[in-house]
Amino acid sequence: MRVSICIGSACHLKGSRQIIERLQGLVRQYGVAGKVDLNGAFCSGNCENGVCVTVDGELFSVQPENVDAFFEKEILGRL
Amino acid sequence: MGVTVDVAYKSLNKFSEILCGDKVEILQTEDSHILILADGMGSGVKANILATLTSKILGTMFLNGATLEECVSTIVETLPVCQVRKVAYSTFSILQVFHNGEAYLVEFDNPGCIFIRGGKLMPIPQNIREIEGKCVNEYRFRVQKGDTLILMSDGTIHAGVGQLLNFGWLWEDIAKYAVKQYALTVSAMRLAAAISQACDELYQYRPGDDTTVACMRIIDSRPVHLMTGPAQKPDDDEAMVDSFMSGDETTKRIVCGGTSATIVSRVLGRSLDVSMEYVDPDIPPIAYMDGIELVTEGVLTLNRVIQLLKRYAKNETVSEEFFLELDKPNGASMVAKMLIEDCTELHLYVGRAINSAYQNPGLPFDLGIRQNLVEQLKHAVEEMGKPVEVSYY
Repeated sequence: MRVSICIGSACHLKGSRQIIERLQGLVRQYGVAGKVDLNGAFCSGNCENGVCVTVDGELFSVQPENVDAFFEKEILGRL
Repeated sequence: MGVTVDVAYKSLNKFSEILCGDKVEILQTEDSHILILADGMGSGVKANILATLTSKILGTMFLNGATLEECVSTIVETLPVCQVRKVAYSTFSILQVFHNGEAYLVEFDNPGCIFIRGGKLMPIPQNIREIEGKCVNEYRFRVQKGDTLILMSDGTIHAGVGQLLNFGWLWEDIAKYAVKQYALTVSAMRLAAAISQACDELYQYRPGDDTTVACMRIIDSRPVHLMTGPAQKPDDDEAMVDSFMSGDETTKRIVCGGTSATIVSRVLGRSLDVSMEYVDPDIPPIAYMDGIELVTEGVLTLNRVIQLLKRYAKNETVSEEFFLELDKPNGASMVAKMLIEDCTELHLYVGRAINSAYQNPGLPFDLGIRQNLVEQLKHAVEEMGKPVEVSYY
């Protein structure tokens, strides 16, 4: 599964770094590094609703506060 | 042969002085680059005025094609006479390098110019002429790519005198040190900073005299193309990328901006690989694309780049610590380093499109300021003595 987190200007200011760090931590914690491929990405064209995260091409809007819920539902839930 | 130069200097003020009694002028004429170093007698305000007058007179007159005799006699007649010493006095060195490779060195009472070619010290022959009672050495020669010439004030050879070194730092030893540093450093500024840093250490950080090292390296021209922002009309994307990719194999290319990078990737059909490594928490990670030296985020990175370039242009704050910052692997330091050390002329390709998301008042600062940033960037690079061209799309 390919997960891309936008690190463009607007998303960066809305917390890309915290989201990347948290996702990297969760992927390690659940031992799913072999199945989940985390990537950086540039602008997904949806800056208003940052931080933009795409899971296998599907676009989501994630905030640092709801990373855990997002991970459980959209990443773990799809494995 | 189309000679270009990389030129920079570094001054240390005599301990407790606010003004420097040495003055460096860096000028360009249609067909040459000129570097002038003047050292006014004494220290503080008086020396600063003498050195400033001398370097400005020499610069202005040289620019207007005056002869050396006219320059020297003007200086002699103009400089105010020192109340204590009853003389008007400032030493000077002038180095003029023409685009066709001819060079002209004039020295009056400064320590001799250090001339390094192919990693070796080159002797500068004596050819003394007396003008207005002053003995001036003149040397006409041809430069080659890679040549490095270093002008100094006598604060360098007096470094450590009577303290760490009995007779100060001898010219021969400075020259040896310069040859060693020449092999280790890539830019004029790093070489000038390394030598002045050594002087500062020999003075135990309390320079007994104003100390200046000015360095000129003869280099190939190294154009840099920098693209930032999407074109106002998406139809122009292709033309913009085409121009950005123009140039020969010496041209280096930087893309600053996520959307811009995506456009370049699409137009060229090359994949964009975005890193997730936050080397610096405030600067978004960089990305990689074949044939593009550097791909970074846009406005946040550029903002930091401009801060770094302004610090560099200001000169006083350029120290080892500055170079440590410049060597960091974050996007902004990498762009600034390329513009400072690996660029002789800059061409900016700027898109005028406005990202509506950037108009959000909830963001910490106005991201719609790309054009303001571009103006500041242009100004900062020009201040470094490099020509800048801007194309808007």
